[in-house]
Amino acid sequence: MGSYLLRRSAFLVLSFVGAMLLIFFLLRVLPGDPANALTSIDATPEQVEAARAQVGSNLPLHEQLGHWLGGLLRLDLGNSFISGSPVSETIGQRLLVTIPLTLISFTIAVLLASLLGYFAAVRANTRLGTFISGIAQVGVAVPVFWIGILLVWVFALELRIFPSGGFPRRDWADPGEALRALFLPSLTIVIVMTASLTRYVRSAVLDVLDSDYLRNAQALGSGFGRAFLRHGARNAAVPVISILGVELASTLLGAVVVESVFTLPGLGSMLTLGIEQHDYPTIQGVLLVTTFFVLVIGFLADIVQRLVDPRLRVSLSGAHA
Amino acid sequence: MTHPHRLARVLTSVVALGLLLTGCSGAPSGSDKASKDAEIEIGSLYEPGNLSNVDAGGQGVTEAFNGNVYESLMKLGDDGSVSPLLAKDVKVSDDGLTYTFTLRDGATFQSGKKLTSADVKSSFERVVAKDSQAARKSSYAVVDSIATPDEKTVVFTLKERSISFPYLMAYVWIVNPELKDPKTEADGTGPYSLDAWKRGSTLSIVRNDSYWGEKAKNARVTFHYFTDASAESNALLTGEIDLVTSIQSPDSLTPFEGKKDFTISEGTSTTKELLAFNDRVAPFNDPKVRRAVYSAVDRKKLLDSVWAGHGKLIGSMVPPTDPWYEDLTSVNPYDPKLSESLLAEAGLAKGFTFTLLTPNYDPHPQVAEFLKSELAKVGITVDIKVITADQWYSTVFKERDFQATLQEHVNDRDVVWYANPDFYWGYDNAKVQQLVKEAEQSTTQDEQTDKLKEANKIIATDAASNWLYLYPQIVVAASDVSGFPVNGLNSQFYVYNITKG
Repeated sequence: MGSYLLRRSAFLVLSFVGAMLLIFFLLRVLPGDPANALTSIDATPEQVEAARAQVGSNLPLHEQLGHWLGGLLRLDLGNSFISGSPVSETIGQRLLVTIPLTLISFTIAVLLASLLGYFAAVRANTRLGTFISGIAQVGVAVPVFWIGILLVWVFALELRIFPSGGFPRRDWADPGEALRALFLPSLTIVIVMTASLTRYVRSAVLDVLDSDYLRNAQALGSGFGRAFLRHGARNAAVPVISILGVELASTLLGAVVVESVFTLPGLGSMLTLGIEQHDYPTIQGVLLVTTFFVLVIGFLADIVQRLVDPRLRVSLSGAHA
Repeated sequence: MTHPHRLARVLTSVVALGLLLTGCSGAPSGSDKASKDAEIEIGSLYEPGNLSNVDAGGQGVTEAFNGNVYESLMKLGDDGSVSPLLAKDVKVSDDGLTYTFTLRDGATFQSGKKLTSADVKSSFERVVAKDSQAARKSSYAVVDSIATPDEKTVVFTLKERSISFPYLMAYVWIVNPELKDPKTEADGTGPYSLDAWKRGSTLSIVRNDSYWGEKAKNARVTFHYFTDASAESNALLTGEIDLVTSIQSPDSLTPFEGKKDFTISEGTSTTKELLAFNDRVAPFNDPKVRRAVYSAVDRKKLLDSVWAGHGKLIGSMVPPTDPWYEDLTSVNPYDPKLSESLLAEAGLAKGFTFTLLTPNYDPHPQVAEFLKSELAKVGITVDIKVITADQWYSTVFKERDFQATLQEHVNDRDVVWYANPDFYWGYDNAKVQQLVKEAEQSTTQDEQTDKLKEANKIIATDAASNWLYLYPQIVVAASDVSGFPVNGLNSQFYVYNITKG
């Protein structure tokens, strides 16, 4: 396990550095000059030049990269070209929305999907099982923004029980108000995510139900519930955990769509606005932070998977620990 | 398969219950506090990029701050008139070269600092500084020197007569020079001070109780920023906001039409939709061809299809709130026959093909399709090429590598840009340049108005560009809200008279 951890960590660091360079160069390959966002329609040539100097787009690439990497070493993501405020500060503010949104939705979806997936598998040949599978299929097929719009229509426009969007001016000063604002966006994510996770849980449980060890355990006198909890659950969890890592990461990224439907000031809307304005520091900062999260989540998922399944520890560490 | 049916039934009843409930609920409830302490929630699509007037904050910063947080020596009213604001009075020397502004007594910044002539000087210098991105910066080059003989007096000496100088001063915000970072903080003399700007979400301003003039009629105004117009409409429908500053399509208007809970107010804007040609290159260097295109387009039908009857037709660059407006829509009437004969005169009887660089955002793609079908009827083939805003900037604005393009021009008094042969459309007419120059050097406003009217007529007759229509300025508000500005001049939006309840 020790050597695996070491190799996995090295891989984490390398992917992060690779992603950093990729982000930097891809942005610069795109057509367009960030200075354009700073100039007005009656800008004089001097104003255009001043704008280029201000954003540094008049510098050679390696100097721009040097500036950025130098800043990163000092944990400085730079200042937004447009607003002039530190990107890290804005990201911090935006995470106050995106992280709770992701975690709340993720936790609820995992719990729901575990239950639904379990029943869909155990009752596979009953109406209930078919119904759950069917709904999950539909849920996967429906685009997330459509669900968001539907929820706004029913719960905000018609029933008036939840706001149609936005986030309180004072953030979490009034947690009740903040949670109310996050209710519909979370529900949107929960619906989509539960649908897709349920299918994974169902097939993982089905595999386990088919296994000899479960049948043996029952033959030896354990009731089904006891046998499943002792022998089945842990085995069913292994494939699901790796999916969970991917799902959590994609929820974080998928927040872009949900945030735009509900006008939430999260990381997603910060990124889209940054792209619109060619605000390199903002785009780089957001991508870097999300990449970091995604890589770390993947890392943790791999570790947890190995803790749950001793077989992986042995076969993949390359040595018998 | 009974379950899906059951679900459908449940869903239907949820919706029916919803409809029932909305049927019963009244208007978004007004505040029960005294109305002078009302908090007004405003929806807008224009979040500022930053809070400074010299760093490309965009129209959002004008909307939220101009006249609300920051004030200038002069004020541009909602009707387009110019009057003294922080200046108590303005004296012009006989030769028109010296403007002496006397500052109002008792004006202070929100931070408490007293307003002095030195603040005016430094505020002006910010706007003309080398790295300033202020709009209209080039116009201020007319100023030769600024003197501050005493705390209350500012004297601007001009290089040449400039009758629009007082008007231009309505754009120079007086900013406390001690302010550390004007991009993220604010300190002006206006009736509100900045409370908090939460990027990507809200910007709120609170009443400045030590304001020198009449105090604001509400206690706080919060701008809620949306990127999606339908999300903005939803927020108004559910009472989360009280009004939206500027409706951008008739679709967003539909949910409010004929509802007694909402007021729809239509004013006139200064935003013009232009089919702008590159007047330097064939075939559009020939006025006959530009006129032929103009007359081939049924603008009324276009406006109906884009704006469902809102908005206004214009025959030139000048919007109705500019003092030199006149109705020139008949100069180039919609007349396909005329269009065909103009094409024949230009030697293009068989028609021609041109590429229309079309920005990828509303309403341009729709307008482009309309133009394509109209022009096909007179034998002109339009090759639509969709570009991003950024590509527009590089290709059209900087490199002038285009035949024709669509663009909305938002400024007031921008007809004078036709006197700049280096502008992207490259209209080069010595007479127009002469008239605009003379207008600027007029001794009276009547003289200025006459000269600009004349210039405008030439531009219209030449069809320097095709001015397709003027956008409407539509504010939708909850019916218990009043006192908001009706016109949208340069995106400014005075909020101090807004009341609720």
